[in-house]
Amino acid sequence: MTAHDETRDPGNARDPDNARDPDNARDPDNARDPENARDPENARDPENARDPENARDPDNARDPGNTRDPGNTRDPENARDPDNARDPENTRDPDNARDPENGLSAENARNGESTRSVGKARSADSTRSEGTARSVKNDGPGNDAPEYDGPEYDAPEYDGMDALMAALLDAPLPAPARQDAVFMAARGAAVADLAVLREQLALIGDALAAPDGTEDAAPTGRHGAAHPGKRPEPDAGPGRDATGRPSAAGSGAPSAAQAPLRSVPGPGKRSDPGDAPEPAVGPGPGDDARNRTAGHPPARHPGTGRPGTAGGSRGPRRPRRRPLKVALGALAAAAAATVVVGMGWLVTQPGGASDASAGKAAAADSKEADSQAGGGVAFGSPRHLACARLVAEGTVLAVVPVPGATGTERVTLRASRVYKGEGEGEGEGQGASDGEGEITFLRDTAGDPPLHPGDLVMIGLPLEGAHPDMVIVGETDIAPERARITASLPESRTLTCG
Amino acid sequence: MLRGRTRRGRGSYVADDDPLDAAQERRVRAVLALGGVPQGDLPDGVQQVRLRLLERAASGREAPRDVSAWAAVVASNLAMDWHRAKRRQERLGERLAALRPTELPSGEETSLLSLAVARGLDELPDAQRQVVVLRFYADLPVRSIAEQLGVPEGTVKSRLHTAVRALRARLHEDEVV
Repeated sequence: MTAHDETRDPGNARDPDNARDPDNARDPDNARDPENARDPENARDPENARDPENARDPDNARDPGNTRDPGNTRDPENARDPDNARDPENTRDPDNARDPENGLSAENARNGESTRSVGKARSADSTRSEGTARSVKNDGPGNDAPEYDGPEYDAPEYDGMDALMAALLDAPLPAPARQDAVFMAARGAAVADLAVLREQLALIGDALAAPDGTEDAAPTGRHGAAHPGKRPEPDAGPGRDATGRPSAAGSGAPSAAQAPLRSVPGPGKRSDPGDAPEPAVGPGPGDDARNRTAGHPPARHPGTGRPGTAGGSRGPRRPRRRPLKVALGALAAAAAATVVVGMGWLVTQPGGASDASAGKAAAADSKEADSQAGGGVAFGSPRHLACARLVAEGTVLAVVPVPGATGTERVTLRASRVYKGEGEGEGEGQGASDGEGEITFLRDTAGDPPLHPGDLVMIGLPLEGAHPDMVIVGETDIAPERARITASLPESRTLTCG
Repeated sequence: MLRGRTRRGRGSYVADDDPLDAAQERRVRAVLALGGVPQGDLPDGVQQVRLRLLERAASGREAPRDVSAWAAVVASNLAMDWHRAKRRQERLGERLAALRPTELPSGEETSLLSLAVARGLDELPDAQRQVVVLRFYADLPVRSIAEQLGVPEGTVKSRLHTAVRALRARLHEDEVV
């Protein structure tokens, strides 16, 4: 206690008669106030009855003479601090009077060695500042109650550290800890998780710190995009820190701008983010620089944001990839549409098929088209009939190749029935006449199965030309057409072709 | 402005250059962003850090021993202030999700992991988030963090322990690790 020149109560007005401590029992030797500035007349405890032996502070530092508990009745065995690390000279309680029977915290021995402890061990090895997570958390060094961290972290504590704390601090482990397999495993897992956390923070931080807030997490590639005229060196190397943390493009603003910088906080390793294994997409202003960068690993060059950020300005937002995506999508859609339309067109075309299979298909198609469209220009439909020069069926008499015209043959047909055209029964009637006549027409042989004499065919000849627009072979296929034609004839007569 | 003055005798610290080099600025930006400062405010944040450094120089105080560490701490404090001032705090998870390209070669898992970490950070109290960023992004040792923040080391350790425990629990829960 520092003696002050001015005393608190120089005139001892507070207790003039020293009634409080007449015999000065409290501090007989006036250790507290050696100069007795507080109580010059030692009126408080003149006889020092309070601490006659001055036991409280034997050495009188505060109580160097250990007068407070000279008999050390509080902790006679000095169980609290057997090795007396706290008070090596044991000036505080030499006879351990405070806890003679060592009844206090028997299991929570305060000892100087590192031992496993249920709660928190105060050890000389672990500094107070290290302490324990829990003790610090509780803001109280005196909380010795063990806490349960949770199912994942119930590894024991050593030196006041659980496995996670040991990993966090990367502290040297005491021998008992190293021998504890569970603890070591938990610590290893924690170390691994911390590495992941570190890596992810770098990725996330770099990504979010990008100067451009475009959907591309290209921190610095933006710069390149913003200056299409400047095609920098496609070398991501120079900008890198030795530490691996991507430095700003301190080597020069443009150097970072590798055009295809789709640098994203994706798979790039922290140590070498420049090699993020992405395909070099160069959706930049579509110039020849794309070729240059095509083969290069895209760089993550976060630092180049500098030019864009220094003055608070942001680079222009350039969603380069969006137009490309849109274009590709439109192209795909157009192609698909074309295919669909084309197929539809093909389906509705009645002509072109002159053999059995084709005829079958055509018949099916035309049937379908007919049923859907309700009478487009499918064979056998009223419109078709209206526009046909001849629709007839009969037996093939002869098939003769046309000299001079390869792939063409002349077919002679003996018509058994003519539905429309020359040979049709004159007058009205149901249209079908049984007039026997010969019909000759030309037919391309390419791609179609050949006709033979004796084949039963039904043909339709358009208004112009000698080639039928429909040839159906075989009774099986003819029969349904026959029916259709028969049904369509009346209506077809009412229609005008055109 | 202060920038015109050159202070000699203070090591390599000169006030007429940008007090932050490019790498430091980058880190400052990232620390701000990780602290939830919105994208649009990052440049302002960086400027504030610069300003504080310059003010420090102008006041005659010594330059920080470790400018990077000092700047990181200032940035992290700024981020917390940003939030406290009820300015919009950007949720990292949302922003990161918006950034990510849809296709990422072999990066699908990493994307999920990054998102999980970002969301975990969003959920941390400011003080814990701050120490996590300073420790694991800025790589400051515990002692430095405590010194710079003016809190006991034990407090820093406690915050770290609590924060990392929460993050780990989340990541394991999300099954990304």
